[in-house]
Amino acid sequence: MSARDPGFDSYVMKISAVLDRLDYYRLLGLGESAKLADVKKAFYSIAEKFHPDRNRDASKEVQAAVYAIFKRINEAYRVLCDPQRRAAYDASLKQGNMRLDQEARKTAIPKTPEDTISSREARQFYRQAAEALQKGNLMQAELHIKVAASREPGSAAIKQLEARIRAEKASKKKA
Amino acid sequence: MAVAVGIDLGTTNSCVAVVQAGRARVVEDRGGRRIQPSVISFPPEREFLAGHAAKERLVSDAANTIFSFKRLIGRDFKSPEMERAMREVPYSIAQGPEGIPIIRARGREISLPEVSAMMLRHLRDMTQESLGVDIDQAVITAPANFNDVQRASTKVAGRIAGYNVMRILNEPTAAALAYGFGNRLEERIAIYDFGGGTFDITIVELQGDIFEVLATAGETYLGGDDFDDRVAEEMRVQFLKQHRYDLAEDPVAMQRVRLVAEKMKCQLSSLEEVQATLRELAYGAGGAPIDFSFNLTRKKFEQLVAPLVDRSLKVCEDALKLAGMDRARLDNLVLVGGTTRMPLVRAKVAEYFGVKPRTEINPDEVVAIGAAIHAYSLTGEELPDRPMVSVHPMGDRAGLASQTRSSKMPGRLPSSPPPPVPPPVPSSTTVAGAPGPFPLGPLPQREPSSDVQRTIHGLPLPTRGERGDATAKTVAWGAKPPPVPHPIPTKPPPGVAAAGLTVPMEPLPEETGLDVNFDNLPDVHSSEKDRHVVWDLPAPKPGAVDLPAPKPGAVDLPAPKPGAVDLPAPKPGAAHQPTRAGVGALPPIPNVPGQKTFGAAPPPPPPMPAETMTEPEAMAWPEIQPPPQTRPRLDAPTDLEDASWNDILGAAAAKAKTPPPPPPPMSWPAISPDFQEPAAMAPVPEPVSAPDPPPLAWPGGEPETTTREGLGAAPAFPSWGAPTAAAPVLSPPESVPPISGFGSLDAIFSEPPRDEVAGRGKVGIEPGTRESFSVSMTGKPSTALLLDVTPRALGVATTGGYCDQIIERNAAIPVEQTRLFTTSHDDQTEVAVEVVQGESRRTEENTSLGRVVLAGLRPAPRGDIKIRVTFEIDTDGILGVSARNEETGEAQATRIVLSGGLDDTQVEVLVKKYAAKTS
Repeated sequence: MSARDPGFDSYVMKISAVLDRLDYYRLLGLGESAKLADVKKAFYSIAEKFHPDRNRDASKEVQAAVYAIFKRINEAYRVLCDPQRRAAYDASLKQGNMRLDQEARKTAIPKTPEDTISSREARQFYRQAAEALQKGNLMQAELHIKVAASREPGSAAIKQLEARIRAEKASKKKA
Repeated sequence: MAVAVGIDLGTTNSCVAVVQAGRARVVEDRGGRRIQPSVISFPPEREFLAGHAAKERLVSDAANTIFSFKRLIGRDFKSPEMERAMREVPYSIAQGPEGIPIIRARGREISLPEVSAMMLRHLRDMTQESLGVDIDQAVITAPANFNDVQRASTKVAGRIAGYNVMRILNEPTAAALAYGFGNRLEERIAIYDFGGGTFDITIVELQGDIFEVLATAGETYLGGDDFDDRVAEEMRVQFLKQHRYDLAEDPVAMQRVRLVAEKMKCQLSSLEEVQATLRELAYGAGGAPIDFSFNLTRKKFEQLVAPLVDRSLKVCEDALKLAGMDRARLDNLVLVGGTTRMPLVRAKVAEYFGVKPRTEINPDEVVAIGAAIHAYSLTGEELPDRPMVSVHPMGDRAGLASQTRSSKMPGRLPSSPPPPVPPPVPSSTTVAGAPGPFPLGPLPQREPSSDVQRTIHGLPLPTRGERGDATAKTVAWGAKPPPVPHPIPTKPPPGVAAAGLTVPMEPLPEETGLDVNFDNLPDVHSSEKDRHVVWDLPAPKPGAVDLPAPKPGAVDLPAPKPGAVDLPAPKPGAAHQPTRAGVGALPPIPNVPGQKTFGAAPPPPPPMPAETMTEPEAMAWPEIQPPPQTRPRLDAPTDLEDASWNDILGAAAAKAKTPPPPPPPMSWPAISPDFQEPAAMAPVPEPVSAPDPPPLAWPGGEPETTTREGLGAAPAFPSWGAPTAAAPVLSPPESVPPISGFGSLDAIFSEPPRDEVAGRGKVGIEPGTRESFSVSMTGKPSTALLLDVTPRALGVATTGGYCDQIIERNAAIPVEQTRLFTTSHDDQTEVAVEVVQGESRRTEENTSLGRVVLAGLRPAPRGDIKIRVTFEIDTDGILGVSARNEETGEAQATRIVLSGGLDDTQVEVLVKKYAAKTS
């Protein structure tokens, strides 16, 4: 075993100096049309070198740089692996953003109707009602949603579910 | 010379493994026992007892014997888990300073990290004694779904116990490592880890030596203990029906019932019906003793616990969804944890995944084995001669072992370059079952002085008394552990135990002079083949039990103060309006002196002495992808719809038809010391906000001159690791040892010995057994690379009870995300950010980890002051928070108020306290 390659260390330092100016594709060494398999392959081969575990023998400075780089590589990898996020990223990259920022990220986690209910109890009953509806247990669904509505009368989400349950009930009666 | 160990710190049992002579193996204690109960007991005459000796006191000294503490570590005193524990456990939990829970036992107050530290310390002493080397570094495992405070607290426990904790490793990941390491598999596997206290499901993709965690999910309060509880509850109900006496009022009796329930559960894994008899469980009218017989069939048992198993399957569904994967795409299913021994669990899981589980694996040991392999992966690189091959007293490398022992515990080796040592050669010792570790040659001499010279052969087995002494030293916290007693009673070579020299049990502590020796309590009268097993459980004489009137543990607690978290000033309503965070020009977060992070784990990895650097093996050893051993795989999750997926599918289909191309060189472009930086790269113009960076050239490729628009059309973008024409097609170097294939796996996949339930104290250690649980470290030991994820989302509480995610669930770690906050009131000088963990959009449904308080802001109109808060998760999965003022660029003073954890100062105090005790 030979000593650590100083060339690699200086390479690390250089990359870390320009890290904020690298987009995800460049970080992974990919073209913008790279396919998922390529993304994965590139990520693995970079991880082999740049994972902090692979650089435990480096100087403090290099370790810090490696850490910073690898965190970004992880970020890049996860975005490029997810078609939805990748599309969002491509759009944001055109505006000069090297990273997919929080706002764009947030759209990936949509608020559910349940989230808009502010009373905890109401939310629990709402959830139970939704579950009961899914199982086709309309009686129970109706019961739960009524309790939910009593806990938070103004909630649009609850009203919506209530309407759905009623509609379901009506169609069942017809049948 | 010190070695690094892997520790599985379990809820009910713990296990230590070490890589030795090129193989990972479980460390046995003096009695040849491979797992140690995670129990700490506080007897009157000693600081504490741990492991088997402590478990013996579970019944006789219930109020002072702590079990299942892993379920409590890192929890807030007011958390529902803690409330549940206080109802159920017979020991006392109280609220300590700053809301942290503390254990009260024998007039002492002990924090939970301390309790865990005592267990870890016991394991360390046991290992040092068994191996005769110092143990100063460890990889400690934690359930994948442990939250940040739990992880940080576990790490703190390791520090208090005198370890340099190299990694907090997720248990399922460890299991994956033990399963797949060195076998160059290309598979997707699910690790179904059902332990004593927690349940985890983790989906891992194996690509040779890379282990990428695709998803992980779990429940921290679902485990084998719950199965016991269901049985115990059934017993209580039966007893109530029969005798009109509620055992819930008697913690000692309930504890006995619970222990018997656990044993019945274990027996029912192999038997169809089990009967238990508890003598004198209670006293009826006039003090007449009541015996209790309880019969349980497997069918009835399975009815009782089926809902628990179903709960675990729900979590599995969750994990598959996260991984974007279909059940059918799994190649293998690995079962971990004692609970997976149950036929019901195996059947249900096999049915769910449609894969036959690898039931041969020993679920109790695989996690520790994986941790040991990881410990070796981490240390093996920096100190090639460090692996115990050179120092183990039983090692066969006489020439390599003239090492000095580093006497300071957490210290590192001297920085002088280590003598050149050939890498561990996969010699005959790699053959599972070969008697490698017990050589016949003389032991290498070590330097005298503080070290004690050791020899291995010609040592008489210690007498019972000697053993007792050593054990006493081991379990006493205050006593300096005997790293090398003089002379050392070593582990008997195989055959000795088998030849009839049974290992004596550890002497009972004096206090157990009552006629209860729990070790012998569950006297299994018949062998396992019998259908009916009767336990004869004499009750302790009421007078002899060292218990005050049995108070349920939680009764005498001071009422928790409602407002225990004393946060200075930040107005509760202070809304932290998250604003759009521009990330382009993010400066690196400086290391603020005095900046606190959760759990005192500074984000950057520990410093290494530069002198001991060695080149990572992978540098000299290009990554060869052997032709796939399995069918060609598609990397795209099936349920993703995108134009490019079709391309991939098409390409893969074409690939499958044509003969496999030469393996693409996955190697990094060669980097030589005379590496020349491409000219275009040198000057980085400032400011960095330039819309387009100057073209960068990458080694191995031509300087890139294309514009962004042109990039898409550019063919293969020559870069870091991408296959380039310049890279030669590599063939395996000669030094690559042959791939061991599944042969080595047989070792850990052989049938485990039955638990100690049936035969504790009687089981002799077969030489074969001794050898069988190990994983050969053929191949390149140090090249396993784990790419893990953080289990839960992390975010901050915002107005209206909502919270914003900053780091999403299952994000690959290490990871860093930043968010911009502003002041919401005029002249606000402090901002408090509540850090929460969990996926809900509602704050109250997530776990609050604590608050970051940013102080010392300039009084200004609201919204003027912007503070950039950065969340970083390190490779241990532990969160660090830092903040800086956008305006001044200065780091803000931050205080973190942890819920249920210890802060830096408290940790330092504890580390010092216990270090002083040992020196």
